[in-house]
Amino acid sequence: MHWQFPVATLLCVACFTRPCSAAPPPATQPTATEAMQKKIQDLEARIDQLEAHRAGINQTQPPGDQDEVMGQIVDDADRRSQLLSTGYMTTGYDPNVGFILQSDDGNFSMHPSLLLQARYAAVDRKQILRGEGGVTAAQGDDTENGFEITRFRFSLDGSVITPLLNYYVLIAKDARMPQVTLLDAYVMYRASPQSTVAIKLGQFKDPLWHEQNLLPSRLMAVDRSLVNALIGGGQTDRIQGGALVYDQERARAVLALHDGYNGGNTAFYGPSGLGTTVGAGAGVAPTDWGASGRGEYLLIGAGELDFNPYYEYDQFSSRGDKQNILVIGSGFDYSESGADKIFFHTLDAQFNTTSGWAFYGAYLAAYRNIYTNRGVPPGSYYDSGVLLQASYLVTDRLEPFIRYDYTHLDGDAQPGIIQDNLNEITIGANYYLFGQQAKLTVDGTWLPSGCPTDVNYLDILQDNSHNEFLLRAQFQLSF
Amino acid sequence: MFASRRRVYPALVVLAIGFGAGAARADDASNQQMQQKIDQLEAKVDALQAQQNQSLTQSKNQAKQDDSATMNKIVSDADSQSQLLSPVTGASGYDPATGFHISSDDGNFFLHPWALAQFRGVINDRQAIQGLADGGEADRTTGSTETDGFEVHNLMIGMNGHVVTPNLQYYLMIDTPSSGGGETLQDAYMTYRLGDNCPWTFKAGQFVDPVWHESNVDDGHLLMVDRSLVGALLGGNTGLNNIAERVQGVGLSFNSDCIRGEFDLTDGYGTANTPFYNTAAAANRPATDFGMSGRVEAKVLGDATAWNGYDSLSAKDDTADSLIVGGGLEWTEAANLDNIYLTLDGQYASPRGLNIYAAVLEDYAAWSDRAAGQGALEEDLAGTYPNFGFVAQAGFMINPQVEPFVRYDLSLLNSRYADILAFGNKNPGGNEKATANNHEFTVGLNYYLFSYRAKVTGDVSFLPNGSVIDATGLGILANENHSEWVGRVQFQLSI
Repeated sequence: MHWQFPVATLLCVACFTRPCSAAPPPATQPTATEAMQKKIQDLEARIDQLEAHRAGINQTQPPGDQDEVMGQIVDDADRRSQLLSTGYMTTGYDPNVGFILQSDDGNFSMHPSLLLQARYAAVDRKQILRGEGGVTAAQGDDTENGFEITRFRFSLDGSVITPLLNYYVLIAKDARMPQVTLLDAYVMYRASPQSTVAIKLGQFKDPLWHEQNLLPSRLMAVDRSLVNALIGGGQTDRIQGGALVYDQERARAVLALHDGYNGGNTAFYGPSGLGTTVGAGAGVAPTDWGASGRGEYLLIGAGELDFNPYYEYDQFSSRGDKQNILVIGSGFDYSESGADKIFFHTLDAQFNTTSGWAFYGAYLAAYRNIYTNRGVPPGSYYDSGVLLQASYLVTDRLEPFIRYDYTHLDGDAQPGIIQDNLNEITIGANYYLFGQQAKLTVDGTWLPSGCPTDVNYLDILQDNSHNEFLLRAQFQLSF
Repeated sequence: MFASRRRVYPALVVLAIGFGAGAARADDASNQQMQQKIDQLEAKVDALQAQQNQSLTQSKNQAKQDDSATMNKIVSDADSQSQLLSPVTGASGYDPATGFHISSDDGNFFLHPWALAQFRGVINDRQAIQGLADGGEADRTTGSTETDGFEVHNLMIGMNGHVVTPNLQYYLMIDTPSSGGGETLQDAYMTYRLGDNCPWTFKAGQFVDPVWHESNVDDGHLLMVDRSLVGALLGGNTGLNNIAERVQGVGLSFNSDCIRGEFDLTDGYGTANTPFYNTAAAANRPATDFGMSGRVEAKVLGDATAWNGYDSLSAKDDTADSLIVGGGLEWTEAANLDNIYLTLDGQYASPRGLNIYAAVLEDYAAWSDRAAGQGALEEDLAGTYPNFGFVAQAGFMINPQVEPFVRYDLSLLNSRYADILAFGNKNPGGNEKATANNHEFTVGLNYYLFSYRAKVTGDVSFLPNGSVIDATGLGILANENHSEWVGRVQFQLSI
């Protein structure tokens, strides 16, 4: 009996709200009357159209004037052809490139790109020691959670004057950045379309690490590994200088001369390198100069140009792969700061199959020889780590993965480090809504020994030598 | 009582069925007439189509005979042009309704870059500023003082569109505000509509806190030079540069013909560009833990174009009468600080050029004793502070280019809360008292050179009690309990 009033109320509400449809176009079928009215309207419109066309034909000029008309058409076509050749631009969307503006001869082009990663993160830390809470200044047990725009990246790339002269500009406003920041800005010139060598100038990623070289949109987990942050690309970041790029059938390589590792957005006299911090690069700053290199070789897979073997290599996932590949790579960076020297090096391999399996393994290390204390006591230090990860495409959209990485930081270099052996274990899954352009990634991470420093973009907070758990969910849009 | 209900409901059902049956019989007769008309019209179409085909055939034959070489040249030329264009396809260019855009030919990928620049001149005259603390931080002074100057109030560069499908949309905007701080990311979010005709849309990223209508209307479609002082004190726009507050989070929105709604889980009020952990978005703000925001809007009057008109506080280009009412609620929690914001508003617009907007606003601040690690509030400031305000404004298009307007808004602040706003957390006020009742009267004029693309706006505001805070984005400077005049002229360019 008590249900009577709610039912009556719902009926009334339904009656009153009926004129307001729940969705803009009605999803239901129209009534027969409505369909007939629509058909009458369509037919009347068609008659109007046909009659107007007939009237137009009757008003056309007699056959004798058709030469003049044809002449005007030809003139118009010629004029349009001239406009095209002198300044016409084609714009639109190319599935292989994305949005593009380009001159009709293809010599000038511009391709805007975007990456947006919106993330929710929750971090639970245990037994934080006094003064070891990092940016949050917490102690004891602490849980932090919230949303952030982890990465907002906008880039322009394309060619100028000739397709052989390329440019790339990338600006970012990531959560870790106080303001909009220039990340990449370089030009690259290839002598001829057949040339295997190109020259590159500007500011770009220090090229030695494969994980760092991948676009953030093409990673496997929500973000890169802790070992990459403490020994790899998180330490070297961007460099300023010039590079020779070699690209042939099965091999590609790059050799760069620069101002020293981690030298992005510095003036020519500016302080490249890292001073007092926790990581393999600490204490080697300001750098005088540096040299970097990396080589990659395709062991398994076809190397024809029209069957780009590196499409599969430019992402961790096997999604969309057309062939099995095995690529090995190795890289180095040598930078000097007065008498202080650092030598980063790595060896890695990636194996992807068309059946959906993907494996990646890497060894990362850095050797420092320090004479002058710029945040790190003099001495020789060797920091190293490994990374192993695997994934499998269960369906075209769902891809679970697992990752383990280990980092050894020489505790003598950073006396504050209580536990210098760090482990990170991550499991999660990708759900590809629309390929890499729109995907959802969720993962959970356990750091049994915590982390001796905040690594903001990984959502890892400082907890020196105690348990730390992360849960991250990220929605990514890129084009 | 229950027995009588049992008799009434079956009767209503029978009545409804009977009414439906009668209507069905009338429909049958009407349908027969319409079918006859359809048959007649189809016959006429067939006849006209046959005539047209015959004419076209004759024309083609004539053209072939007259100048086949010329036709070949045209075809060849068209082919060559098609080849040049073929690698990149799309309906790109400039659409007056949208602006510049790049699109794929199937419409699944769309990029719309845009910019909004506002160049502003401001003159501010404050009377009888009593002490240095009364004059605010932006321009510390005493006595009667006049301050003026020019500024690039906003330079916003943005882009929006969709990728893969029209259901997956993005919106980005970077602003270079006059308040300094360099280029600032304001909006960065994506939305995914859960089906072609589905009213539900998922949203994630950083976006405008959706509670207040005045904040939801973008900066290029305001009625005055800028938003109201009550919005800066109790609503969703900051006085600093007076753009709408942003939050980070996820949300779900509902859009139908007559009702729109949105509910968001966020990091709390004013948390743009903050990392995931609790941190203060600005030096004078506490670090928020979380927040919840929601807003519902209902179209009481109007056709399908009403929502377009609702996105502006002017009646310019409105084509039908519309009345839309809305309400919003937000709860933000920051350790020992809780703020509950509430608003109710309504907007009426008519194609004759009249636009009326009114809103009531509330901010209920419940602050308890200082918690560990929470240094934003001193212990003796704990308490509950209810604050209320309202705004009412109207504009009328005298002709398609000229639109005078008037606005009045009032913020009734708890006196203790006003002291905290004016003088800070530590021993606020002392012997001085802040402006608790903040009145703002504004009159002015819009001149639309080219609609919203290029317009000039001038207005004058009178604040009989001055302002409790520096709201530099509004041209308002702090002056406790003494009068203040503000004159503003702005040129807006939007592409």
